[in-house]
Amino acid sequence: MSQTALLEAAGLHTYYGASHVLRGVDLTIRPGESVGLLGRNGMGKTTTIRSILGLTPPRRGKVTLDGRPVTGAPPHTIARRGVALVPEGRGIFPNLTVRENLTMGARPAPPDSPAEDWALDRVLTLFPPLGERLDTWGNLLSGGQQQMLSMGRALMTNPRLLILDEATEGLAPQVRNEIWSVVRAIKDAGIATLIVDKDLKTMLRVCDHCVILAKGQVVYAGPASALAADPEIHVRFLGI
Amino acid sequence: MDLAQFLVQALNGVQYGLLLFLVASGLTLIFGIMGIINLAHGAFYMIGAYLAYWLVGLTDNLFLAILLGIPIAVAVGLVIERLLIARLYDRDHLDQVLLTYGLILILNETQKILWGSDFHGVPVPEMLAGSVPLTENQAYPVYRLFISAVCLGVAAGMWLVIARTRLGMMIRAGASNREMTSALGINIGRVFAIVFALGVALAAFSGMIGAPVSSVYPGMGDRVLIISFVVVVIGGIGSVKGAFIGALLIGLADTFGRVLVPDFASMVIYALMALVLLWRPQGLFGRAP
Ligand SMILES: Nc1ncnc2c1ncn2[C@@H]1O[C@H](COP(=O)(O)OP(=O)(O)OP(=O)(O)O)[C@@H](O)[C@H]1O
Ligand SMILES: [Mg+2]
Repeated sequence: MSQTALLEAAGLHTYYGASHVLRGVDLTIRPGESVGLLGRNGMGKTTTIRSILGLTPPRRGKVTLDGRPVTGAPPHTIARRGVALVPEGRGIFPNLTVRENLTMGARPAPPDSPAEDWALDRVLTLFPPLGERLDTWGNLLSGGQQQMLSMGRALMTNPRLLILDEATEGLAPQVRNEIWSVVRAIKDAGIATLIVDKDLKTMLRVCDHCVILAKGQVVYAGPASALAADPEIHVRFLGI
Repeated sequence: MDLAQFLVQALNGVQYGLLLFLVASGLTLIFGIMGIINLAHGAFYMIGAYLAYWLVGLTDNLFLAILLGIPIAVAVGLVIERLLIARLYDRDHLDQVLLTYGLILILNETQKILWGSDFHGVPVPEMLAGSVPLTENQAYPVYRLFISAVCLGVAAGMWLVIARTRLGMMIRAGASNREMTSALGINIGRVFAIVFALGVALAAFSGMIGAPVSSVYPGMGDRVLIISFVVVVIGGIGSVKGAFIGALLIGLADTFGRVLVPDFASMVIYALMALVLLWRPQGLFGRAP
């Protein structure tokens, strides 16, 4: 606990117009740590991510990166502090080629960072199918390839925290496994992750820490191993 | 109409269309990418024409006038974008229409204060003042050919920027998904400011280079604005390629309309627009809704 948190969100209250969606969400992610964000449909997982990134700024509460506040900062500033998003629905730019999708947001790692740079070659090594389709328009890829593209694009910004919102949704089982193995590789490369996914079993194996949301509030936060050992919580908050 | 006359009208139509393209391409980019209905866009065309008139008076050289005029127009555009337009990004279209309509009034009035209400002309630069023979008894002014060539060059340059540069990538990405673009660390506000300034520069340039073939007069931007909107709608909102084709169609239709059906000349382009929209409601190159 002595290490400063990479990301700390405290008491987030977020609204869409008049509807009060997040009601005091707390979330901490330490450098290199993998945190799973769980909860049934509509409980506020995506909204938590949007609040952290400044896409839907919280009305109350604060977000800090390395102890420095970023609450109210625009998304591009927060992204440039080392946060990258793989959004629900993948967010591929259809009117950009695969290569352009990958390079448009590319930023080298900060000079003081010990991590190896995620340049195009390295990303293509992680996702070989993309290398064969560099000059294809983004929307012409298969679902699995689009997911790889979205992840590769995020890695090219050399993030310290990668946020994955439903990265395996709508993919065939074999493709899901590939995505999960990439998630593990990203984790092994030392990048912290915030993962939202419906696949509880895999989440419990991949994540270090889990947070469960219900109606915009944190109803469970603890080590993944503790959650794995407590099926009663699965039934109560995840309906499994 | 014999062949020579036809050729003259066709060249006129293309030249007019290409000038329109410079105005309409900015309009379509600003609307397609930033979601802003900019009624003041025609006023930037007028500002360009008056800058040409004023600076040619000072320097006696149209090329120098253009070189000096573009930075002035861009500066005006950037100030307006930062001060006013940037506040409109999250507002609805009614607010945008109200504010940019107010801008037309202010810019038109400023023009009258600075340059008065008289009509003015800008001389064709001497080195381009001649004409080239088309047939034995039909010649065509070199300057008009020069306008067409320069506009084609600018169009090609725009294509290069949009298709081949990092800025172009950001512009396209911002047009398709603003949130995702900013979540990748790109300052979308800055991209918007650049797009707006580029749009202003193009409109003003069109006004400057076109000044020697049309007179310079108060409110000259208003008609250009309306026709540019027709071009944008025909071409498909947000599509630069559409604006290019649309502008050429309108330029030719308007020019030939005046010659062939002079009594209905003012209706021809609107009839063309109606036809295109009946066939393709989203415009020639617009994305289907
Ligand atoms: N743009 C919006 N405007 C209004 N309400 C919204 C908006 N987006 C989400 N909501 C509502 O906010 C609540 C939380 O939504 P959110 O997308 O954060 O849930 P989620 O946990 O990500 O769900 P899912 O598992 O379906 O992705 C839901 O009730 C949803 O209907
Ligand atoms: Mg969601």
